[in-house]
Amino acid sequence: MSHGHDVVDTGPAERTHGLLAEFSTPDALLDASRKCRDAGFTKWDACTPYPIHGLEGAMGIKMTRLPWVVFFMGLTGFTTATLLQIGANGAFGYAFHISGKPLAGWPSMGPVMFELTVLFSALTTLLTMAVFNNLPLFNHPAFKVENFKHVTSHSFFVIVEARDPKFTKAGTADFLKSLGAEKVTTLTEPTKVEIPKILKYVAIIATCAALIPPAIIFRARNTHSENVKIHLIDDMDFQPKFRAQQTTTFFADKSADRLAIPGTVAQGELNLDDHLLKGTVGGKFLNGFPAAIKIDDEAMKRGQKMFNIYCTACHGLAGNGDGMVHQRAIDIQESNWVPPTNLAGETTLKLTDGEIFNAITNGIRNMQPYGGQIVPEDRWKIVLYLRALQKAQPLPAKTADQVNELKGKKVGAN
Amino acid sequence: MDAHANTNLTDAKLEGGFGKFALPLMIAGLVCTAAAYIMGNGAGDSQKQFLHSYLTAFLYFLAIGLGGLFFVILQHLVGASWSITVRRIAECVAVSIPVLAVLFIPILLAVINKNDALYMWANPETIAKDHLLQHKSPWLNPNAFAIRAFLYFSIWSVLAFYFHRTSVKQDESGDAEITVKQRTISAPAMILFGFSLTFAAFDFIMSLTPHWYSTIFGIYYFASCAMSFMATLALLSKFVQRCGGLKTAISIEHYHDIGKLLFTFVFFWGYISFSQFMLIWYSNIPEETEFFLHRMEGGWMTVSLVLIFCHFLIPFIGMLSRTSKRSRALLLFWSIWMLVMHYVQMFWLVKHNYDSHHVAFGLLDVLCMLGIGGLFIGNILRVLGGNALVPVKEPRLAKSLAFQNI
Amino acid sequence: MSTQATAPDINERVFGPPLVTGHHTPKTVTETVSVVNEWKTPRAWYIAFGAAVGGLSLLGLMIGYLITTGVGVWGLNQPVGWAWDITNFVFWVGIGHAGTLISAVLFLTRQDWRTAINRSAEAMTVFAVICAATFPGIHVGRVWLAYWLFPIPNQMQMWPNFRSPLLWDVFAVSTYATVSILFWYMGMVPDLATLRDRATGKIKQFAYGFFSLGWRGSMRQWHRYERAYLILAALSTPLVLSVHSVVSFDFATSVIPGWHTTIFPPYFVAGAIFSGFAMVVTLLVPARELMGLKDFITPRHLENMCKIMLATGCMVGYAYGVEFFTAWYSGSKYEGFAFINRAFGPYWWAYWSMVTCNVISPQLFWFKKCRTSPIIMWVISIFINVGMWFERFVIIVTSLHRDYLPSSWGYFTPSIVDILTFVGSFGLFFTLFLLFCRFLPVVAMAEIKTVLPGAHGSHHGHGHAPAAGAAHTADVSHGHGHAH
Repeated sequence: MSHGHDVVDTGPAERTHGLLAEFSTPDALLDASRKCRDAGFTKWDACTPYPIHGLEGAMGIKMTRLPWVVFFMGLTGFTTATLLQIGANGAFGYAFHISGKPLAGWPSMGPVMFELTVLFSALTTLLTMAVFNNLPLFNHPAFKVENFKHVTSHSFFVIVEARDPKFTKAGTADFLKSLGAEKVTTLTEPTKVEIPKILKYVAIIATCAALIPPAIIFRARNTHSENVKIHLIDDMDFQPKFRAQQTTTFFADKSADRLAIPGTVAQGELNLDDHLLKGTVGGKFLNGFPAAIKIDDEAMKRGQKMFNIYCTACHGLAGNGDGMVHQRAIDIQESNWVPPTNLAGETTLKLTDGEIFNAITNGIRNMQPYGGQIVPEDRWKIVLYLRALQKAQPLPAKTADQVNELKGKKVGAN
Repeated sequence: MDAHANTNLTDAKLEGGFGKFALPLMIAGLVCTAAAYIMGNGAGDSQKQFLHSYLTAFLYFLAIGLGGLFFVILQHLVGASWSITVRRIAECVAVSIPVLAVLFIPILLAVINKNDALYMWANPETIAKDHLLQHKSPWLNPNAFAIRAFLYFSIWSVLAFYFHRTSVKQDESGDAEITVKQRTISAPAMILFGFSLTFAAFDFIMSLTPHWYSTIFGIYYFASCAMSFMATLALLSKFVQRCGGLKTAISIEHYHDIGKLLFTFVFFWGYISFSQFMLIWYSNIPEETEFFLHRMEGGWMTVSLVLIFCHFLIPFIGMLSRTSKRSRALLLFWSIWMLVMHYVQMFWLVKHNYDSHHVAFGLLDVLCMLGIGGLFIGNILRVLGGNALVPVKEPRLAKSLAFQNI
Repeated sequence: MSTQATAPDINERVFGPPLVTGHHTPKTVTETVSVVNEWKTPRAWYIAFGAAVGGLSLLGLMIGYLITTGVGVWGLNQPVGWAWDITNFVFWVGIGHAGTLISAVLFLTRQDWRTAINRSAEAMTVFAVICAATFPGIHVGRVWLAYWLFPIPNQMQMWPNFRSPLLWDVFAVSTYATVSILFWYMGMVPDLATLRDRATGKIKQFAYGFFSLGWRGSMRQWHRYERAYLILAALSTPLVLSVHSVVSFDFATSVIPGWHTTIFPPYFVAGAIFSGFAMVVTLLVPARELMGLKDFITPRHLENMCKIMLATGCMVGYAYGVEFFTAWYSGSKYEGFAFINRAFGPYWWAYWSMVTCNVISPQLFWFKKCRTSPIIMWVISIFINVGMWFERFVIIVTSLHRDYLPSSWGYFTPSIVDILTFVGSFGLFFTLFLLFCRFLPVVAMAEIKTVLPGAHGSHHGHGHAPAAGAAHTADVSHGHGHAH
């Protein structure tokens, strides 16, 4: 290792900031630091490419207060999140109800409370670190020294500042040399950096420009305008249809709402077939399927499919009234529960096809109408399938008379 | 501190071990257990009160034992060197799990005898009336339960013995290959540990409310295991030093790390408990909410609040700072605090099943704790005193002794 | 068995091989890493960048088409209201978690080997979160109203619904993005100073100079910096747990079978770390070759990453097992059906892809050969990410397409826009990552220097030949931690 013992002086005219001493090993730096600390210097520093373990102790650096700032800002974040959530869904915001949950239940507030605590803490950490470290600082006197650029690579330095009470130009230089410094350089105070005029103008213009959008927004929020709104998505905002109560110039009375033209029927709505559409023949509910329904395997399968989708929830897969809605009601001991009808039972067995069709279409007792959900053809197919279900199940216990009555035979026959 | 620390520790082995404490503790433990058993039998409720108090105390110490086993396996798995000075203590905690296996017998007997005072599914008549229990009966029946319990304790005992025995063997031979082998074994060991602990938690605790289920329950119990063990480790380490062992080997740096891990698992417990609670609260499905709803009635609401504040929030804030972990007094304070809270947690889980309206804590609970605790801790000290207090020829011991924290 | 092993060999097996190979000094570390930013851009970079920008353009096109035409261009419909969009979101957010784990958790546990990979992993996190954030952003339909997600005062007294996990997600992912960027940037400041001090052109000097804030390596600054780093690490650790837990809450707070289960939070976090490490391996195995970083990203580093993948893969497998058991144990026929449907229903192919890739493929890492062969681990890492994509897809789509009411069952097929949007997101990711490799320090130089032998003076024990027996060691990875 070569030891250059010369002090490089950049000239007496500029004010001295301090002295810069270069070292090339961590051991040398640690040793030098201990000696500087013990010599009683206070305004001095060591510069390294990476933090050396034990250097803080060697320099006598006290633990920073940064964690406390972070802790308090974290608490602020926590409080902010709590107040925000209590307020937004209740106190100062519109209180809407979400599936019976309390407006400000602590389990639902937890995640956001945690996140804001962390967010505030993290932002504070970085900002406080920068502020305490006096960063950014682009014009430190050491940057003017050529060798100093190795501090971020592999060299180690000690800087003793002139404003330290124990500092003397010659004495401190000798002291540093005695520590084994390879090179000791004088640092001069940075000259005042003149910000280029152009940057000043740019800054002023940028600040003014930045104020324009909030000004526009403020004006827009506080004034009325006759102008048409800006529409970005034309075909969403101007849909080619008429809405209720809308005006139009197309008709003389300027109303877009029109009555049906007297004497006309909409296409497909002639609705002449009472049997198909209402289940009545000559005003009466009868057995038998309308001519429009072809009774075949396909119809049966369709009926089965539709039955399974719409009817089994209450009536069960076999139509016995034990569907999952019924089972659930029993499970939770629902009061005033009227069980769904057993479709294979006496009551339904006695109904005509038309009456069953009517029940599906318009509902009956507690059952809601399904006419809106199932087209008439499918409703008839459900009736078809229902009949098959009834046939497939054992008859409720009957006397021979009742059997005969059902079969349409005279009571008393065998 | 010098990395080439002197590994010739003068206080690595205590004369006479912990004989002054181990045997009396175990005898006292035996007496208290017997007293509890007799008292429980005489209560005329087919052991209902006894079994609940006993299970609470049992789960308390099982958690510590399993936490110890976890710690040992983990330290091997990640190749940690800071913990070498306290690892022997952890090994001895783990290797006392077989004592708990024996102590499990009263519970096992109750189940095999179809006594549904503790687990309602143990009685076939109860199962016959309940369609949900019928569905679960291939799993929740006395024989399957017994076989599985045997399996769990076997796995834990084999693993604990392996790591302890090989470590003690290394005290003589200084063979570094043992360390490498232990690390290799630790990986499948951890998997076995995870699954066995999960299903043990399902069997021992979750089946107390057999209609209820929660997939996170295994991890929930695990959080208690890890946390309670770290608290125990701090206390045991202090005790060993009080008795004259490892006075310099376990330094403030090690306590700092134990404190950090204790803090971490307090947080982890809070996170898991919150997740479990909040998800069930949010979906509000009656079959699931019953577990928590019942624990929010009457006196049990107080216990629930104690858990939230004293098991999580207060210790979390209290152990946040660096100082709280580097001050021996504070660390011990929080360790004791968490061990008390650990009991509250087990109590909240088990005793609610005994009386869902009143919070009943009595002599029987104390006797069970003293009984099982005496035997368990006494055994730990007995095993610890029988060998060196640290793995004296562990290759990483020097590093552990020289360890300095961030 | 012990006597045959030679002393250095056993020491390496106990303590691990050196963290940095090739006899580096701080000077050579600086040179090896800086040169990647200083050399003339290699042709390979241009080709890769071209492809990436192509993908990015594709993404832009698809998003443009989506916004101008509507969400109907995707394959979503009743009953499957979420499919590729949310799968991709969770996929990308999950990948980001490895970076935070490496930075924060491995820092807190004093794993010095993280120093070689943390910079690129953190970058990966930031870019993955950016990719992730696009999906919830564009899936809302009226994207221009997305600002409604944030609690901004307005004249309608309308605030976001804080009781919804979707909003918790907004906070969680925003916080995560912010903290990840802060952590990544703060870590880079000393290295940007290094590049500044070596920069030749005016633009480079200005840019690196500006962003390095005038860093001069002052120890007093290092002290606060290290403390801040520790605090950010301590904050990031619970944050990374919370973010993917909150993402899992999106599903777990519902009532549908397969979604509503309490194990989701830790299970998702484990899965996220799993997929994240797989992506780190996918990126770094080629990067270390192409950028000459093999002395820093050594086989030891790669092996550690494989072990973590194995561990987290087992955790994911554990969760699958517990969920499956509970589906039976619960006695709820809906739960049971949900799992049978996953395995044997119309999406069986997605389910078995997931199981093969997630549970079976990482098991190959039990074999040392697989943990030490860069090619094998690279292939496995790709499989793992494919599997993790399928995991999210299976969870989301199979539970939606068949839940309680059979009349509402349906089948989802992705549209070409779904697929190309996802492909395009990789374009975004790789564009950013390639820019990072070109202009920013890929390895944390200052941190690597702290783990070199002799970095902290001779009192810290370094590089001595091991004495007989195992008491003294040739360790270079001593647990020194960072100076406080």
